[in-house]
Amino acid sequence: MREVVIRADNIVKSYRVYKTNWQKIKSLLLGLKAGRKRNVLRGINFEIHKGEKVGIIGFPYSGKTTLMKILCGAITPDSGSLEVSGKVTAVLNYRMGFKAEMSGLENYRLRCKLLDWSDDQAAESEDAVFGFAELENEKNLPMKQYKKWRASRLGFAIYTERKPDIMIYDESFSLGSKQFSDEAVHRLKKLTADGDTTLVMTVNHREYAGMLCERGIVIHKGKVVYDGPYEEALAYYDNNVKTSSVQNK
Amino acid sequence: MPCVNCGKAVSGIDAPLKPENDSVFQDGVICACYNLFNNMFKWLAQVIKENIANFTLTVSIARIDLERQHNASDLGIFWAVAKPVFYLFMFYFAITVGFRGTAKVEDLHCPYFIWLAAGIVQWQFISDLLVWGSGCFQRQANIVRYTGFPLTTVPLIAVMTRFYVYLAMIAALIITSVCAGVMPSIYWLQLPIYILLTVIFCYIWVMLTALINTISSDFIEFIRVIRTAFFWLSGIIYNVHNSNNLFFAFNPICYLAEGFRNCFAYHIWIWERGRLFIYFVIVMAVLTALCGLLWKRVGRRIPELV
Repeated sequence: MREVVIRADNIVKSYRVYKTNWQKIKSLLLGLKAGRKRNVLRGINFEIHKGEKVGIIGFPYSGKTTLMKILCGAITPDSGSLEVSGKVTAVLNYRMGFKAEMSGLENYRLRCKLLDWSDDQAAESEDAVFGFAELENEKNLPMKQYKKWRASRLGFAIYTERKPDIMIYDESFSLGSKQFSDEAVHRLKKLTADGDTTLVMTVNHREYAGMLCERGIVIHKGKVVYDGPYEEALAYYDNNVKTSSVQNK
Repeated sequence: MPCVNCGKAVSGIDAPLKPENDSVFQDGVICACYNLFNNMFKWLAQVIKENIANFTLTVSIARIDLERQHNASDLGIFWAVAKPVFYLFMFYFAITVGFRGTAKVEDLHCPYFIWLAAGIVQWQFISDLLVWGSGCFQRQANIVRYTGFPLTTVPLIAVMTRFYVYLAMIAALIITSVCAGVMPSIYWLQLPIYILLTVIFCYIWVMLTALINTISSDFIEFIRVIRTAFFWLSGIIYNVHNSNNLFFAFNPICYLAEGFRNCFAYHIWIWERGRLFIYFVIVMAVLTALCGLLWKRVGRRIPELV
């Protein structure tokens, strides 16, 4: 049995929605009850083993992104315990942390620092990253002159350049062209092929996610309703979750 | 959350710890205080640890931010230094010509201009951060929202962004002093202490206002409105050296400006004015406690609020 790298035990997360600023002050500053509580995750349990490729399936606003943010430590759950062992790289937004006035190269260096790469590692990977993003000749231009999808490509190239222990992936594969999206999936597949890297991703494009995932976890109304092989999880989602959500609407 | 000993509800930064001496902690209030202080110190230790561990990254991001702010103009960072220099000359002119030198200070070991510059250098650094610093979480929203980046280091990024200009101003002050015939004195050795105290004060202030700013921007507008009052009530351009007024004694900006003047103008050691130092520490402790309490309420929700 492979070792468990992520263990989520009864993860609960809720947000408060405030209608007015006064409600926000009352709730956060004075600790009084104000605003409407929105329960996003109501007790999530699962274990993910080393090298697994897991797709999180769910209706929009079912809490997939919240779960991903909790897994990478960007936000903390209200209750429950989470054990994550290994170095995590989280792709929650390709252009995360990019500064528009800085050049592509400066942004690359800043991102490398955030990813805890050494200067040598950053210099070593520079050509490969800009080559994959097809930005070799534009690396000194300010980021604001890049088209959005070109900046996204650069972000994707940086995140997928080095092998993490766990890759948390919550982004679309729409990166400008079909050809580039195919290349991106291929790169991600290659990154996780040796079984050392664990992949946890939200299923936004079934076609691409199907090429990567082997296990599916279906989330509905803040709970795990199905956990099993990817194709079966999709079928469960189509037959039970999606249908019931459409009927409720 | 119930106390582990007396079972009464207590509040603290985190979960309560089991006190070592049970007999002392029978009372719920004492227990609550114990847990509050214990957790406060734990939080403070975490803040210091995170800032030290990420200091290199903080400095890098601050440098990049500073360059970004000034790379639209050809002269770049020159303007960051030009503003306080212009400010200094404007006040010097206004006081010596406009007020006909009536604000002159007695018993100085340096020209009046240096006395004034010592206060202005401190004020420029602090005033920049009084309001601007409060938006630090919003300015780094991309990092704060999407990464597990240690949030306690974000205020330090704001402070360090202005720190480079501050250092340039201090260097300019030292060079100007020497050019004006003021020879380096042993009292100048205190400068690093006052610089450190200034950075600590600014860090705590930025964290406090940044936390409040994530809840409501009205408070920051209030600080913006009264920023001028901070200037006029901190003895930056008039002498409060021998004042017994408690307001000046408990005003940390006043203490820090006077600290620089102790090095350049008055030639006084930090311990000679130990009472004022204790007042300063008290004010810092109160601000830190407020930060800790606010952090408990807001800290972990910052990525959701910015």
